[in-house]
Amino acid sequence: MAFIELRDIEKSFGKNQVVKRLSLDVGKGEFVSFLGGSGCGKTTTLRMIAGFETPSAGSVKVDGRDMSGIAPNKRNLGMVFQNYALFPNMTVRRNIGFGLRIAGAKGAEVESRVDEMLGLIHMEEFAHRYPHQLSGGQQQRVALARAIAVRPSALLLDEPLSALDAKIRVKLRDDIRAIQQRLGITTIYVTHDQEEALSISDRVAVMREGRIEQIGSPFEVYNRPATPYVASFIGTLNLLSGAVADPSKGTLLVAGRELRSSGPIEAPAGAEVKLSLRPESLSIGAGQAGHNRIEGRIESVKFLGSVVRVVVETGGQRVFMDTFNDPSAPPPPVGSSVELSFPPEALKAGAAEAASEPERAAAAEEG
Amino acid sequence: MKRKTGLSWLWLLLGIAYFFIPLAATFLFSLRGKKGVFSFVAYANVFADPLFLKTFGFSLRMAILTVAAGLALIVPTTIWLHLKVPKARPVVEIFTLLPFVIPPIILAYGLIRLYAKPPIALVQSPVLLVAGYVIISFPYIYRSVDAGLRAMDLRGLTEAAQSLGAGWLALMLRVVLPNLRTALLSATFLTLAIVIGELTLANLLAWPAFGPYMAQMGRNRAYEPAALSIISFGLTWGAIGLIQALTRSGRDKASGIGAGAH
Amino acid sequence: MTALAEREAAGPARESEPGPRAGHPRADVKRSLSWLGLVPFFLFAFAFMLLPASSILVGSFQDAEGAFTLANLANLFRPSILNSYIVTIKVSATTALLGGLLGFLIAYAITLGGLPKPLKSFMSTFSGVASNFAGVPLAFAFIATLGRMGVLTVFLRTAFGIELYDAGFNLYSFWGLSLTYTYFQIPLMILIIEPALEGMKREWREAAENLGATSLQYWLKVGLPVLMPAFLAAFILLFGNAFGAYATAYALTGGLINLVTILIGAQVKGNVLHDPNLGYALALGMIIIMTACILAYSWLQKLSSRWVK
Repeated sequence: MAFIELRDIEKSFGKNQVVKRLSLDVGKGEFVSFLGGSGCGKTTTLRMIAGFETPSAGSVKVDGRDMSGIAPNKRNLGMVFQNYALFPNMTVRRNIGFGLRIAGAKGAEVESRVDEMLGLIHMEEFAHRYPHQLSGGQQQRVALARAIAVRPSALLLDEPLSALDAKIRVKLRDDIRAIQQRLGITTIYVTHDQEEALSISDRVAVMREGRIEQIGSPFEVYNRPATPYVASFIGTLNLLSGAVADPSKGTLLVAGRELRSSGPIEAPAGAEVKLSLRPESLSIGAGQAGHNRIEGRIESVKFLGSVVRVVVETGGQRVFMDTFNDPSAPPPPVGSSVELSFPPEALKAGAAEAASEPERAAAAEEG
Repeated sequence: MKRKTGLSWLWLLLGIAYFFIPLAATFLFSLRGKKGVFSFVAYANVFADPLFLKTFGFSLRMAILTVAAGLALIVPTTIWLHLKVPKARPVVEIFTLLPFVIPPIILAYGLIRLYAKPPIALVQSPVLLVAGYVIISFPYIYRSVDAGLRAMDLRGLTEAAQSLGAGWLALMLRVVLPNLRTALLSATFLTLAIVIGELTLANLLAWPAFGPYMAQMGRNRAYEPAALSIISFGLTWGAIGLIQALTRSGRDKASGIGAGAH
Repeated sequence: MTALAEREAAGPARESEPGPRAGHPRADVKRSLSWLGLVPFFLFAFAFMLLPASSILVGSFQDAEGAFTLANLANLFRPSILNSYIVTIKVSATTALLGGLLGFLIAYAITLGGLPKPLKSFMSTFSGVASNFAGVPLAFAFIATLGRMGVLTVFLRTAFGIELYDAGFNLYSFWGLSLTYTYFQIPLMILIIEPALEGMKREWREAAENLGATSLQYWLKVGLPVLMPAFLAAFILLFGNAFGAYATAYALTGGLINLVTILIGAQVKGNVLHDPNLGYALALGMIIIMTACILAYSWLQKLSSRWVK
């Protein structure tokens, strides 16, 4: 049985419906991320679980207990906020012990639990500092310890890393995951950063306009996006257009070449359809037998570190190709002609909806 | 949640009552000039009084001089401070806040003691009054200008303008002052509002200004003072309301906290 | 625009200056030259603020012949003078407390109290006006409202049979003056405390609730402690504001109430006392209190801005 159960919950602010008939089961000890752009309802959903918002309809159950009508301070759910929300008038030690004291724990009991928490976040030497004397990353670690100290039945994190620097973000997200796994605590994590969601979650729920577009393991969501939106939102995606050659065989014409796609196409022959293709599925050269091949001219080469992104112009369309950096082989010169190949199953056709969101795809290209 | 909003309304209504009952009462009172009927006769009397126009005109002139002198002193100083000697900022800030520590009554007392007799006898000259007013308006003018400069990233703008070939004069006239417009207008209206009704300095330095005139009126008449009070409130409201409208459109936050004219 | 002209003149001169010695000394010259731009301001402030104030200071340690004495300070403890300080402190503290409390509650209502948004900007604007609506016009407004023939006084008499003045109220004495001062103290408090209230993050409250705290526990352990420095700072500013007020009291009571500022005013006009040096001592006492206020204020302000970022 699911530990956290959302059943058809809805939330409207005035006329604006932010969450629409959303249902979700989160298993005990599971780490689930809500991933989506701003305004997709991810934070609102989290706040409904925490009790800061009341659902307009539907029910929230935690450990089999219906939460409707239960005040936030009676829910025993730990929450971590984007801006840390540490109490500025208290030291680290008192912040972490706050919930325990409220619950009526005795001095020695509080102290030993606080010590344990300080050890968990490796901040023993900062116990007597005030929040304003800590860096953002340290503050967020304290906030995490404060939320965990009361032994909540689940942990809710609302974009906890988005106010931090890139380096600290990566370090802290690994820490969060490690702590979560050590304690086996059920966790819901809200983020707009797909890399973050993919890297720490058991399952990722991609949200859009108040609905869950797809939920699955990071591997599933990335490699088998259920909808064009998910495909374009997660990872970098080439969006091409081509004409259907044979719908049943799934072949198309792109820049004068016949390409095979992953399967049959639901469009008549001759129709213009959108195609999607992950940059990392492309490689330079003719590739294996049966692979699709396209030819083009190298427009630019971007060195991203471990990955080199080559932008190739082919028949008026632009294709991104990602390849691992190889110190012994510098990327081909700009302006040269090149042949690219990719397996047929990497090419997905019929992304009609994604076409309506060019800016989303463009944004994803950058990321 | 409901109960909380209820309490909020209660406090708000209490505040509004405290603000508006005296205003409404004063307005009603000012209409009693003629026995038995409501009339604007008190207002007519006020406006017909040659002393009203004379003292108001005097105070307005002093206020305009104060604004001119105050801006001429503070604006270049503050710009200079931001660009050349940011280190000196705390010192200047303390100086501009001192008028809060030295109430007008003390200021007036000191000015008279110092400048009443030779070598420098200034008491007979309006210069001393205006100088005192400039001191009183230091905090208001400095805060507006400082806030205006902070809002515009003076250093960045200066460097940008210079890299585009602008000289100092062009920089001031075309970049800095236009961007300061809102702040300067706020400072101007606030200073006008404070100086026109000012009593302490004018009274102690014995000038026929609007403040002492009103106080005199309060001794001799019954309903005209109420009318004066309403007129004066209208003027303050107009000045501050204008500032608020300006600052809202101008984005920068130069609030009109006042503590000088009491 | 004198400084501007100076700057233009100084600029090229500095550039063409042949550096007498290389490196730092020249930078020093440049730096001291840039301080010159502030000279007009400091000269003015010196001549019309610091010098007058310090002349009072000096005067309070001199006797009529200009010789050094501490007698003036000792005279501050004369019953009549001491009494004026007590009354002034009482009025200031009462109105700071009353205005501070009401102003705080109103500011709370419009910032965190869940009232419609437009009300907040309306109240802020109005506070800007009302805090500047002081002095003579304010005194008149209260005379018209609560004077013997005031609209409210008459209304209470005719509608409820309440005789304010028979009940011991008198506009021209302590409580009347306090009520009048409170009129500008409330809006001043709203203006001062509003930023601090805005700085109270919603998440603090939510974090506290999330950790099991009730609303009361939140206020006792987080809300009030966080606000306390700002609240005290505002209280002190209000206190100083009332302490230095002259015009309102003068217009309301015609100079008949025993306040420090009124006594000083009378001294300046040469009406009473006939002891200028005692007047200086009076003023000195006032400067000391105001200085203490501003020091405490800036210390508390620093404390509160340290927390509420």
